[in-house]
Amino acid sequence: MFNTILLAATEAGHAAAGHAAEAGASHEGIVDSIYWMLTEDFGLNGPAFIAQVINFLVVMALLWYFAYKPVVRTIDERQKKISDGIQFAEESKRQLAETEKRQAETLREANAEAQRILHEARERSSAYEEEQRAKVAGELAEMRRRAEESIRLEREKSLSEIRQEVARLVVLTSSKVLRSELTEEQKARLNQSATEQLAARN
Amino acid sequence: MSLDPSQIKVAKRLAVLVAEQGEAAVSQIRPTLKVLIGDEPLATRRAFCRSFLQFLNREIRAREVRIEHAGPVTEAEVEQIVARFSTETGHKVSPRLIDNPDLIGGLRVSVGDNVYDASVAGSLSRLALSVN
Repeated sequence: MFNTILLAATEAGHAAAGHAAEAGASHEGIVDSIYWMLTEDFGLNGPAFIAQVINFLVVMALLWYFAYKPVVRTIDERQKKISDGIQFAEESKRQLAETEKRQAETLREANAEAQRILHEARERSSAYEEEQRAKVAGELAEMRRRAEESIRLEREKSLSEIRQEVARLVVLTSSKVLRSELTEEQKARLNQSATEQLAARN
Repeated sequence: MSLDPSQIKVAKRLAVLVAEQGEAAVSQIRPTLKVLIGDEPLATRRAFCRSFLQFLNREIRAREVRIEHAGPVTEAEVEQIVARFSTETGHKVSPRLIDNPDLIGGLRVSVGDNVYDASVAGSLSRLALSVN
């Protein structure tokens, strides 16, 4: 559009050049010719043009301030929200993966711990069973030993009682026989022997 | 009531003296006791006399040799036994003969708390004990 205006102005200049040659062919004359061509041939009104330019600038400023700027801000905010959402989603995804990984690790550790506890429990159970078995065997052996000892003591006691009874009967019989059979002479010899025995002892 | 050690020692010494003197010392016992413990309380005097009698019994038993026998015992045998135990105890012992048919034969001699058994019954008892 501006080129069109310049072309028209050039043509008008050439036309005006004719008039300027006629008027004196000076530079001011060309400017005046352009001005007259614009004002009269194109109907350009200077003050109105300036007012429109000012109006245009005001409208553009208002539109820039009240429309373009909020829209851009809204777009930026939306863009930021989207970016934040994406970042949040990625962070959530990463955290989820990390949580799943940690959970898997925890589960694996718990499983290992459970296996270890189970193993220890089995070992303890086995050891306790062995211990109890040995204890019972020991108690049985002790009971058997005591029973055998008791039987042995009872047997010895019975034998001792029998021996005592036999000895008592032998002594009783011997005493009766000796008491009835010993003569005074024999008793005197026994007394003499006892006296010598007592005198000889230290 | 218990006596102090010095009073016990005096009672023991007095018992030894009386046992050594025999019947001759009996008449001296009362005045001697009066001198020794006449001023003491009644309980002390009782305790002293009790201790003196215990020591005296012990001394008398230690000076007497009990000869239990079953069958005849000659004077020579008695003298032999008395000489034997007089030498052993360190003082003159007096014999006391006791007839005990349960001995069957042989002798059982006692001096103080010591008993020496050389009887047939004692031999049979020892035999019975050795069987056990």
